Amino acid sequence: MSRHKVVISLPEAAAMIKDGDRVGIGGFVTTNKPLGILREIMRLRRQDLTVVAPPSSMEVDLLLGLGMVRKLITPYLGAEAIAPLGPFHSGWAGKHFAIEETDLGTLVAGLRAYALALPFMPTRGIVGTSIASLNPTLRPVEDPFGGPPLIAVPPLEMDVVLIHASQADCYGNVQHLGAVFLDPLLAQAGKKVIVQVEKIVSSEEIRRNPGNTTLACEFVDAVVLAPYGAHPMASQNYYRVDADFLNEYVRVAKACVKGQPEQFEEFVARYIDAPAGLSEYLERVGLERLFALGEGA
Amino acid sequence: MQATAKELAAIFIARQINNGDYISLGTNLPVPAAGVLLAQITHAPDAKINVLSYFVNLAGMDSFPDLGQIANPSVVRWADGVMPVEQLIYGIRRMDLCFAGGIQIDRYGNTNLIGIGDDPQNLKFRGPGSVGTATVMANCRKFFIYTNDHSPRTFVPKCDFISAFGWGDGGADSRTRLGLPGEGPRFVITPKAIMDFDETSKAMRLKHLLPGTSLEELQASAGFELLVPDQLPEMEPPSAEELSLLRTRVDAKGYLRQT
Repeated sequence: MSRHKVVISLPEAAAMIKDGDRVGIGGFVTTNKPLGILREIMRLRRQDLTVVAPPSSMEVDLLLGLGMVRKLITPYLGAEAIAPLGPFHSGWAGKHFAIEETDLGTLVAGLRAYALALPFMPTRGIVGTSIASLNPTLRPVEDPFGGPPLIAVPPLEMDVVLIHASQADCYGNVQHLGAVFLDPLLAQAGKKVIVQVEKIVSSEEIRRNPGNTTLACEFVDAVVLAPYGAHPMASQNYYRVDADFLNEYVRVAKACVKGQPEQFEEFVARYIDAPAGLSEYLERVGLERLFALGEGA
Repeated sequence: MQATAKELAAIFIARQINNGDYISLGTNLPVPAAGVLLAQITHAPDAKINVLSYFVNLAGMDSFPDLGQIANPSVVRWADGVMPVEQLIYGIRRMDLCFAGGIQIDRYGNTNLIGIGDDPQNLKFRGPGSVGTATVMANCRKFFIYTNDHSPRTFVPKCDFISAFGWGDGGADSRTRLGLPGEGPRFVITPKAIMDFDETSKAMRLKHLLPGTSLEELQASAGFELLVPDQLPEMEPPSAEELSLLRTRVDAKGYLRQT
């Protein structure tokens, strides 16, 4: 009997995400975002999602703008100095979706609690802040050793976790070849883990440097080939963030929040709904533009 | 060209850094980033700098490409190590210095990145979120607060929400009472002034006015009464070397020279 191959197509990956799912999104701010899979899910307009994301950016703001998110759990949504805040995040919070307030340390505590099958992980990081009172899942807890009270963070579980990485073999052994951000911890807290990669390489290539493997196949359910699949975000070793694209998005999204949805609708039609798949999306962005993003990546 | 207020703020930050300090740089704080990089290429070649997942040393860099995008994978070219982001949380006990920003900052050094308004479900303005500031500022040895917006909009008597705890409602024991290990906020730095905190009350206190701002103007720039000491020395002016290195190697794009 031969080993099971886990490579699937983007539409097959999108079919693994259902309405109401808790979806984890890997990467960090504007780097390594699984936009290939996310655009497929956006095209299907999956509803009532709970999104769990480390510091996030336009990919999450767009999910909010498409009305797909019921609850957002992220310590940050923005794009540094590249582009202003997510317009839907800052304009629609509380009105069109709920926020479960968190910070990076709290997120890590919740993911660790799930990964270790514990009822909670204590943290001191948010003692004294408003986070504990804004997030109803958090509770004060006594220190059994007599110190001041701590905050208990319950397990943060996800139905499916989506990750972007450099390469994988067909069995689901993944190599980021760079920073992993919070991806391994997210994967350990996901019931299903889908990784999109720039390249699918041979098992021999992976085994040449098994120390480079960042997610062994134990933690990966499916691999999807998605070259340029993080665009407009950066993909480590491959391309930089497309700052012009982000600023264009912010412009149309801001107008939409202010009650002028036409240009946002055009943007969604052009980049989400009309392209039949990743290659048609990339054609619309344009090869020249994509290749230029490789400079200094 | 005279040093701009942002350049002076960066130079002040550089001078606070000791060689060997472990410093974590957050997202979107170009002036603190400039201060840390200037320290690194002058007196602190052994400062240990962490940017996101990247553990970098920039002592040998020719010129930093873009202070506005410090959280960019291109910093990997100066990385000695690339580690998971949670290492930032696990490494806190060794962290000497970190920086917090805020859409609101109050007189006791609490900061707010969450939002503005009374009703959390219906905020007037939703901020970007706490990033890692809550956990990091609770634990790291000391932190500096930086903002470009020194106005009553940002400097409020009390934050609507607290994302990183400073000195709470005031008092030198306000952190130890909660069991917070870090020594708390040390300076508040803006393009108008540099401030510290009174040793007993922990209320914000003026330390240096930066050029272009009068005392009267500064006092009108905060929604609370800033403590003003009897002696108000000017910040020691930048040396020709500090200014030249800042402009040629740290901030060639001139981010700090824009008004």
